[in-house]
Amino acid sequence: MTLPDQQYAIVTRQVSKTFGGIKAVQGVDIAVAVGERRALIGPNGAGKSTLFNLITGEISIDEGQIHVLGRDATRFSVQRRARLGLGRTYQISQLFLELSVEQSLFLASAAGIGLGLSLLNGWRDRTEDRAWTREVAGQVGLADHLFRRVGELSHGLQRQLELGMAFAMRPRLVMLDEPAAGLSPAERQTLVALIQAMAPDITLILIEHDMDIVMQLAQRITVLHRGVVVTEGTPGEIQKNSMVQRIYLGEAHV
Amino acid sequence: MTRSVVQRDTLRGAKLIGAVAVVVALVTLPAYGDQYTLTTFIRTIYFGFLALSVGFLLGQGGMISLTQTAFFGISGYVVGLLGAERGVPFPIPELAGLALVAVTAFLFGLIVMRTHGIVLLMLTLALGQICWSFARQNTSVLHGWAGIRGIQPPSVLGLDLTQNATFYWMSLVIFGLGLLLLWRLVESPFGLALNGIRESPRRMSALGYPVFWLRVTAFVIAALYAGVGGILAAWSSGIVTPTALQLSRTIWILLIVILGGARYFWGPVLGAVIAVWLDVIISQLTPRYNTVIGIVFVVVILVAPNGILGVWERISAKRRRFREVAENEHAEALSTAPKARRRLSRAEED
Repeated sequence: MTLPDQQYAIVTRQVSKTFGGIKAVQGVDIAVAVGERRALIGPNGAGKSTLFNLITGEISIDEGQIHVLGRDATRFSVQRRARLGLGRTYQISQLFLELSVEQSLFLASAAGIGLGLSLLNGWRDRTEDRAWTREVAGQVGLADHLFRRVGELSHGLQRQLELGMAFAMRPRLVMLDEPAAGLSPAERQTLVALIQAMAPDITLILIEHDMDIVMQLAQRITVLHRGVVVTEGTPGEIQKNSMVQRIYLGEAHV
Repeated sequence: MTRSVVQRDTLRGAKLIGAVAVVVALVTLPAYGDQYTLTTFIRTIYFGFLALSVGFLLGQGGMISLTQTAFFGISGYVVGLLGAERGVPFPIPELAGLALVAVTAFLFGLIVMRTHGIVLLMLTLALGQICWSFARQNTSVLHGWAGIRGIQPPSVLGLDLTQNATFYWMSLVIFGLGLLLLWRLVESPFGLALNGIRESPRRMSALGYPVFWLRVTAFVIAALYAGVGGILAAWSSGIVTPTALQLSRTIWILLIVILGGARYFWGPVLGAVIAVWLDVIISQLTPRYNTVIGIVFVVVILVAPNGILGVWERISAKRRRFREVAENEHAEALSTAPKARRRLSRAEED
């Protein structure tokens, strides 16, 4: 309890989760500083997604503690963690396919402000909020697609919208779950540039398989394997680490 | 460009003229319609409320509920029990009916609104059936199958609502207000949030929305619409029996909402108009109303899964796309080669 929580966006202590006898995450301790860009890497089944969902609250925790943005959020619901300033994206899109880009971004931004109960003012009348959604749309390269139905967008634009919805929440911490999955090399570069342009005080936690993207975005990397943190370090350190190389080649038996 | 603006304005003008014509026709109906027509319109209105209730949940919130007719019945029974049997003056029985509907919907909502899809469907079915069975089997207070008779519309502001025409006008005004309120609700941030829940409840949670409570709120609002319909039905028909709550009616309402187009604001209303009038027309020809409406339903769903208004949207979207393509060609032609300009002028001459 002596950790100065205010300096950390995320602190986990001995976090564990078991699914039907399989220890998906086991005694994980990580601390991500405010403003840090952190990547979680590891082979399939390493427990990255489980850890991710434990932090966002979508999976309930078996053991341990999770502090989110200075608060003990171990027992907080998904909604409550979101309201602390935690925004996330999904690997498999959870987009509002029948709504427009503008409506999606509006919903993302209005979550923080509150819906308001006025029946006289429709959501379209909330000009300030709509100006903000337009700004975010510009930030993620969707300014020209504001009024299109999300379901009509290309996969690349949908990934940009995922990012935009996380940004529209005015988050203090953004968690990206494989943001570049299924994108072409050119689209990947667009996406990386959009993430790099994010305000420096926003903390970023990223799961990504593409090592080029990880190396471009992350300041520190946490390597998970079979539910355990194997090592942690700067991109340079991780690249040189022989154990990490063995894990990725499938030879390590930790 | 200018041409399309003109076209759009013409379309808007045509729509406005159409809307005004419909309103005028509806308001002046007692002047040219017979008693039977009036009664049929009144029935359309109270089933319209029930359809709005189901359509709001399904279309805006993506929730299929088979409990809505129970709320329709509950308010009717309260009006009958307090008003007709115990002589409690207006508006106490009506307000008590709506209050009971709201409380019941809130409690039911607490039970079912954490579930989605088929589970929600089964739970709301069960709750609806519980209410129906209770009404059917309770003889001491609700009189079982016999139900409650002798319900009369009140006299309000010196209006004699036992007069068919007056009752019709009153129903029409209430329906208009109900539509106006619902429209504002759908356009409000709350309505948009319901749409978000329909599309992805998981994402809405991750954005920080209290998804469960928003759904419970929507459920109570929808129940109140069914409750208002139930009061109008009790006033109009004079009786309330377990038939008001029975499953076949629940399903009939669900079908007509889908028939009209659940996604669309006017879908449930259109569905109610068609179903009630189809009933009238078919009943003159054959006693097999349910067979016919069943066939109509199957055909419409096969041809248009989004209902009749879905077809309308598809057609107008196609027309819009045509127009956009034409406009783009027009603009391109103006800004590019003279050859294209010549081609365009030729096209315009044609």
